[in-house]
Amino acid sequence: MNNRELALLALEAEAKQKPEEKIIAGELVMTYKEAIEKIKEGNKLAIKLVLNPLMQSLKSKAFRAKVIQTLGLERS
Amino acid sequence: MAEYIVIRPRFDETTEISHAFCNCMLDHLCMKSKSFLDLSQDDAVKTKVEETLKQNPSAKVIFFDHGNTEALIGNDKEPVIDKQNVQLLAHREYIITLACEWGADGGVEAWRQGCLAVLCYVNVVSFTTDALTQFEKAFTAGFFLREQNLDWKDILAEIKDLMATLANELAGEGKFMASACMAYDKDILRIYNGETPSPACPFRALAVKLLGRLGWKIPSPSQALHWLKKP
Repeated sequence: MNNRELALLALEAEAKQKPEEKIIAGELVMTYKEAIEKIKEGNKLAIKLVLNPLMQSLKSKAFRAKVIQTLGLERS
Repeated sequence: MAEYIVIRPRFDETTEISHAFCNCMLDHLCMKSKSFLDLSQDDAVKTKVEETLKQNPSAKVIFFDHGNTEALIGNDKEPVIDKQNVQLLAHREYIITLACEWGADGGVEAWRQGCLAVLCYVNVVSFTTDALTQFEKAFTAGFFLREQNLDWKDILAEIKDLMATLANELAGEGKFMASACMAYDKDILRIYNGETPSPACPFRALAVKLLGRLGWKIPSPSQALHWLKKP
């Protein structure tokens, strides 16, 4: 699974857990669900400010492992 | 004369939160009986800010929140500090701001004009509402560390360590987006004084390489044009 797919799954999991919480990036304010929709629509700002930082963090092995563990994606 | 000027517009969802981020700093100033002026909401506009800065030429400045590469934005969504009045920050001990992108250009200009330290961000600052306590701690850390008389180089290192720790803790709690925002904010944080700005312009980079900080004194083409246009 590549980092983009994993980032979107992580966002989807957070969107389900906390539908009221928001991501704020400058003047861009959106719920996790709205962020996912914008990313999937190809909104450049959402990709730059939400998806890219998450993908950057996923380059860390520890962070990636924690995401995979939390999402229950470890290979048995 | 006030020792501190806190400028904090509140006109949208983001500034609603950043306005509240300032409360812990104001509580500290009250507790320590330090004199400050709180330019909140309608007072956070250019005329009022300019007047207050002129009347308090040595006050430290805190500005939360919106900005862009050239300006800090007031309650009327218009610039309160831009290239026309940035010299009002000269010779102050610091300006601390959470404003997006201002560190890329406006913050550099404040430092060039003689503001002794500029704590700023060179890109869009992001945070999440599920970790406001952690973000408040990170965004106000510069103020509290300076209150302990640490030097700016150490403050920069301490804040970056704090943000890295908070990012790890947030990831451990399963707050992955909050963790990513914290890590990203850590990377875009600058303190001009603790470090020298990196010039984007290749000519400026050469001048800084040859002349050190003096290289920043050479006017940019836009400044030169601005001066030429002055009546």
